Amino acid sequence: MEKKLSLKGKNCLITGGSRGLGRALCVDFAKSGANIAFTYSKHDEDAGECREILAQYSEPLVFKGSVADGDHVKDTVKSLMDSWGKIDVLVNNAAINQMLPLALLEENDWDDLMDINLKGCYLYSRAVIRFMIRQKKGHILNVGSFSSERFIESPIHYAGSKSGLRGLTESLALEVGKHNILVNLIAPGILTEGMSTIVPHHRVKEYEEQSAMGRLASTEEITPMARFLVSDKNTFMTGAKIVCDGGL
Amino acid sequence: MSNMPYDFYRKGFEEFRQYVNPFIAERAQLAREPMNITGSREGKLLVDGSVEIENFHGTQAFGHRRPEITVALKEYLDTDYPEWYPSRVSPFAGRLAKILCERSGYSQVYFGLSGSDGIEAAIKLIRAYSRKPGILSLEGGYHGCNVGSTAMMSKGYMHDAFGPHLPGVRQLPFNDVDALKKEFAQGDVGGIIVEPIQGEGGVRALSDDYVAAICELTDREDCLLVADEIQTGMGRTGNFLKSAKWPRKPDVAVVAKQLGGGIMPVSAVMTDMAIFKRAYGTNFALGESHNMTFSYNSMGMVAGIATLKLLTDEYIEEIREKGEWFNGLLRESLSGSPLFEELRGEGMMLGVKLKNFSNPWVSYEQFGFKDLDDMSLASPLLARRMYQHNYFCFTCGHDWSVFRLQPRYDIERSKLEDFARLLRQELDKLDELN
Repeated sequence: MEKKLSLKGKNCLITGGSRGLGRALCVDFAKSGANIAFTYSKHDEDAGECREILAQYSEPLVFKGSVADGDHVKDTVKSLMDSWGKIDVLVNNAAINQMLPLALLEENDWDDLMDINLKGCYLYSRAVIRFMIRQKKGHILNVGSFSSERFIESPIHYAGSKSGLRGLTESLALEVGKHNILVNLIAPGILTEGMSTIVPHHRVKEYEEQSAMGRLASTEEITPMARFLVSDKNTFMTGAKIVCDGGL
Repeated sequence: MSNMPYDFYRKGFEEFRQYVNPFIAERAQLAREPMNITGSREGKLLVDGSVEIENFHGTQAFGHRRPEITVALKEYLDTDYPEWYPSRVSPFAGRLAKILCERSGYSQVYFGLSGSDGIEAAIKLIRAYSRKPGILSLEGGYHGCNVGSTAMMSKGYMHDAFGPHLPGVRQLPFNDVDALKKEFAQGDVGGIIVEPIQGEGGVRALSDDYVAAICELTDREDCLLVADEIQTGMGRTGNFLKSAKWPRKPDVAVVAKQLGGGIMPVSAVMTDMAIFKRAYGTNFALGESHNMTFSYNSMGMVAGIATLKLLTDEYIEEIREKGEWFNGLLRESLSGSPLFEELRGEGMMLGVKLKNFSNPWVSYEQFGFKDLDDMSLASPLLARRMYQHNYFCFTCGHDWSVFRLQPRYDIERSKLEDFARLLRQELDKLDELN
């Protein structure tokens, strides 16, 4: 009997996979037997490092481009279908954050963040889902944030984008459920690495003081739940939001 | 020119955050300071290998990695000359001191590694010379972060946590001649340390009346007058030393920052041999009682010699002229802006005093930093906006309403025109928040 929750043979595409939580998801899924493809937008060195780690399990497919760029999305998915023939799992993880109060939040900041955090999810989901429908099977996991689930201080565009993801998750789940495609959202709290490191010190302190666990989570504490949500063990949970924030 | 590998600086940033100072890293991130700095080119910083950033910090007066300085250092490294002399009798120190004396009119020099320890040496010189406890400094002053200089620091976040401070140090109100006279009347004053133009205090110049009073009182009471020229000296105000034009040459002048060409940490305390002998000349043991291991290190001295060779009188005159032109340009560009209050400074050491926002939504409290709410947000926000145009600008440490400008001496006039135009543009955008 297999002790570990397996993703053996699953073809998984993870956006924003070169560092932070995205990288941890790539590594966790690869360790569990999945074939990994990940996207990244900027730093080749991070992607190279991630590729090296993943190659210990199986050679990943790596694509450079912005999730907000429709052509990049189309090309990536086409290339993956050519290589793999099917995509079992899509994780919409790519996101940015800017610690900006409303007074300093400019239109281009708003657009940049919404493009990546929300439009990117729409573009990738749309590009992948037609193949999943033909397959009559698929898992989509959107990475949200506790900032859309709790009444806490958060940059409004970031919180707005993550709330948007929740709405998108529920509506999409409803639309594609009949095709056996499960769409869920995982909402982590502040993590010890990745994007969370730009959160101001005093807010991290407040978070630690107010959460039941009294500490930040490592990325490795989030990935097992994500793995369950995209695995064959999850056959009936869809449209759900799973908040992993240490009990805020 | 080679570029630093991305991996090194990114990990370096994380390592700095983790092992050096998380608060500096947090501030830099929140302010969106240009951080992906991978190299330098023609005096400027390079972000991501290609975007050029003008650094307006005074230390880099000659730009980053000025060739005249780097070549001198490389030539030195190609020799087998000692990096350090066990007797402390260093020919490199002798040569740099001679050049400094010829340029400044002083006759004795003591070297250090930073402005802070230059001031520390001046404090000890005051005590050893006068044998009196009283050392005066001015409100708004910044003289470094050692224990002695912190005692002279203006009250606030750089001062308050570190008491009890050095006994005898007293801070006087800025430019207040009556308060100065009252203090001298106590009879225990050994010296006074002042900046000709306060840098961190908001680019504030001493008034002529005040300068006349300190020159007269220190002379009459046989006290040492120390000019902290760490910000103002070495050409920054269009003079080799700003205090050289005072009615009486100060007994001591301290220079640092650009003395090492922005590459090597060097400071120099210049005084007259008679003063040094009275303070330290009882015997040879006392003569070397103020001594730091690396203060005569050869690399620092070589950098200082190369810097002074570069900083000719003609060059300083060019700095003065460019500074005056830039001053006029800024004044014209900023006048009429509702947030602009006044332009201060001299030469290429300028400060733009800004009005603070009256709308509470532009406040530190609104941004989650309630404990900073008595500080002005105007200059930090302006600096933040200028980063986006590839100008690395700064705010005065003691007065966050003053935006400080210390461009490199060789900055092109077209760049300064661009800067003045953008500064007005960004100031207008900030005003829209009010």
